[in-house]
Amino acid sequence: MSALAQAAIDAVAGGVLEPLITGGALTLTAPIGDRAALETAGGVIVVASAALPALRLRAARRLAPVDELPEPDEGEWLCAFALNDLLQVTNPSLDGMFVHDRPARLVTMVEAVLARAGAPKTLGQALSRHATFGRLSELVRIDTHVSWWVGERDFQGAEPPGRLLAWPKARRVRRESTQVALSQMAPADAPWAPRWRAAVARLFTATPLSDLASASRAEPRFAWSQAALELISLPAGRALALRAVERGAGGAEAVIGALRSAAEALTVAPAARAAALSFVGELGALVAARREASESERAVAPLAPSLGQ
Amino acid sequence: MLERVAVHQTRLRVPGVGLDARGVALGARGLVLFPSLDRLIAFLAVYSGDQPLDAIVQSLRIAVVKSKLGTRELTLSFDAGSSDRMDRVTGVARLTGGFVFTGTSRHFVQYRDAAAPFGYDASELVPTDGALALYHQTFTQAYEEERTVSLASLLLRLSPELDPARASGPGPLWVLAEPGLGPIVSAYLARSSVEASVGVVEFPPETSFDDAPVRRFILSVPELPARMLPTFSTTPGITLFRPDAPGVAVELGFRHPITLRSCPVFEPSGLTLFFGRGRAPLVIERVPALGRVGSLGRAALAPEGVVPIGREAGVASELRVKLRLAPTLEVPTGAVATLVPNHELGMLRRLVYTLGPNVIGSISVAVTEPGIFIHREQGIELLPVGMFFHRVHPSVYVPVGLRVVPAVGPDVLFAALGAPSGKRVYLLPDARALALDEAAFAPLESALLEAERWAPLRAEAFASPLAQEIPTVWLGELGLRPLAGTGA
Repeated sequence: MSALAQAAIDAVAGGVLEPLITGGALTLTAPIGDRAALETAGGVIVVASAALPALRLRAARRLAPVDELPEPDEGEWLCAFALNDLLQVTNPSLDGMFVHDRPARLVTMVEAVLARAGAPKTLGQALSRHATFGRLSELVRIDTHVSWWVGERDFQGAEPPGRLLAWPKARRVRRESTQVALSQMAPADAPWAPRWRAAVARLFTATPLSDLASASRAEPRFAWSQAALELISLPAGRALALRAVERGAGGAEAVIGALRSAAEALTVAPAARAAALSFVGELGALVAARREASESERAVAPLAPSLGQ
Repeated sequence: MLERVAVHQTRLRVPGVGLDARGVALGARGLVLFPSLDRLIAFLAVYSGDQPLDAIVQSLRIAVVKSKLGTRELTLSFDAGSSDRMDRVTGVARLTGGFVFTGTSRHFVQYRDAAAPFGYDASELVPTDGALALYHQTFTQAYEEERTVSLASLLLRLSPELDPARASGPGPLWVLAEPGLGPIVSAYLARSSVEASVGVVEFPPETSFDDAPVRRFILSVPELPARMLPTFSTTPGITLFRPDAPGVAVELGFRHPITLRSCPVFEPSGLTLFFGRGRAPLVIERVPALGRVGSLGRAALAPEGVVPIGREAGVASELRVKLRLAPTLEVPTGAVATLVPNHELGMLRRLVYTLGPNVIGSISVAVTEPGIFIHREQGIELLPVGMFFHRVHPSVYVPVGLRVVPAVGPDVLFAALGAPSGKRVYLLPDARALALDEAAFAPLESALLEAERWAPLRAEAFASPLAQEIPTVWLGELGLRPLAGTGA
């Protein structure tokens, strides 16, 4: 592996994966492409940062009492490279003055990478990918609209230059920042946008625990994938899935609704539908039991007001 | 010459002398002639000791007579009364060397004796202008009366004689005390619960050089305890007198030659004190007002506000006493505080190095002017310095080994101290009370260490899982060949 590739790996690990787990600003690296991604992920990858394993282990322990988490495997790295490139696709500077197919070409590369990454083959891989990409649905981009007395300009995922913000009163500068969710990052009118959203959905599919936990997201809408169905078919995977949904940030009720809708949509596969509905039913019972237990604790709580307060 | 009176003789030559019913020659008065004063005194002493002088004292007359030869003799005349009285006088006079005569005015003839049972009569009278003509078998003598002597003055001139038999014994006493000793003696008797009365007598100054009257304290003691007698007898300035008769007393241990009891010549309302050892007697014309010695002692006056029981009292009486601390024999336990005086702070500083963290954490201290008050609810015995206190009330502390007297209850004691809120009251052994704000107590930990220099260190903050940031995408400029790295 070339030194350039090692720098790209460290950049992805420190600039993309770590902020994705802990939150904060993601610093994307230059588009990696399918060839470099496949070559890099196929080899031995050593990450200079010592924080990434600890962060991934901490995230994994939210679902399972593990003492160690295996290093990211090839598929996980491919997902990471694909995420970096997917986000770079939305970079306005990717388009040239005379070349306009670069986003579409990069989307094609991402599709190839994700196809190679595939779904996790073991529960460990599923847990590991969820540890890394569990907050994928929370990813946002800050878009800024700057207007002044004679003009206006939009900045997607970038800070406006200082010159535009100078003399705010004299130039009547107005700055408006908005958060753009992951599914909304692609311009709606871009020809490559449908493919890009499909790629995002495939990225979710590649990490089924994260996919299930964020099933209540608006876009891309959750759909029962083969990986998710296989996961809930295993008792341990089912337990992990239940925990992931129950402890996820999406809200159990909304997730249950999304899962049930998606399950009812499986009209062509009755077995899969039944399995999905069974999971949803079990999830609903679990949430109801949790709610009942929580209400009982609240009823008893006044007798022991000092405990835990 | 004298002639014996015969039986059935009816006439006598001496004028004023007749025969009584028994045929004895007897005049209106009797007369006893003494060649010297001591014979007269001896006569009075013997006669008064035998019988009272009441019968003759009213008519008694003592005179100094002078014969033509110039000799001075003394006569004692009195109403003869009867031959019986004259016979008693004759018996005493015979003992004391006196000659007894009887007569009426000027001529007195010898009273009867064994040789003449009916008496004597003079054969011839002596022609004289003298005041007195005495006819005796051995002599006939005319006398001129030089002067008279009262019985009282004669008694006063007589000095009492030493008589150890009268130095002690029960009975009333008069105590004469010098002015400086009077109040002391009175107080002594009053303290000793000896019944006595005291008065002050005044005399004119003895000389013109004295401008103040002479004062003496005189006390009447009905029964002086025997244990006090030596003290009174041997104390200079104090003289004891034993009453011999109403209005007269003789110094203890002395006896007047005359039985004064038989001589009613002293006024009962006055007092004549006869001293021994030749001192002149003290004559008090009138006994002063005597008061009980107890009345002159310290008066126990009740407060003005006190009203006798049964009457309506306007203001309730007070029965408050001062709070005190008294030693107690109870085993000292439960010391929860100590007052470490300033001079023992060095010891305290050394001791705190040996204390464990739990002990230091349970101790609170307050720094005051008398010293440092240290508190520990679990017991303060592990700090063997200062004065220990135990708690008698949640806010009142008493030194160990002492107790509060009067033994009032803790709540009453707290109320008596003013029931201060938010304060701890410490009673000291001298019953002083010190109050200290509870807020003044601070943990020993915060007051123990001196300020130490420290080096600042900056710690890395941990990211809180509850304050997770949102993963945010920032897109940078990709340059002119953004896909150069992809190989495209």
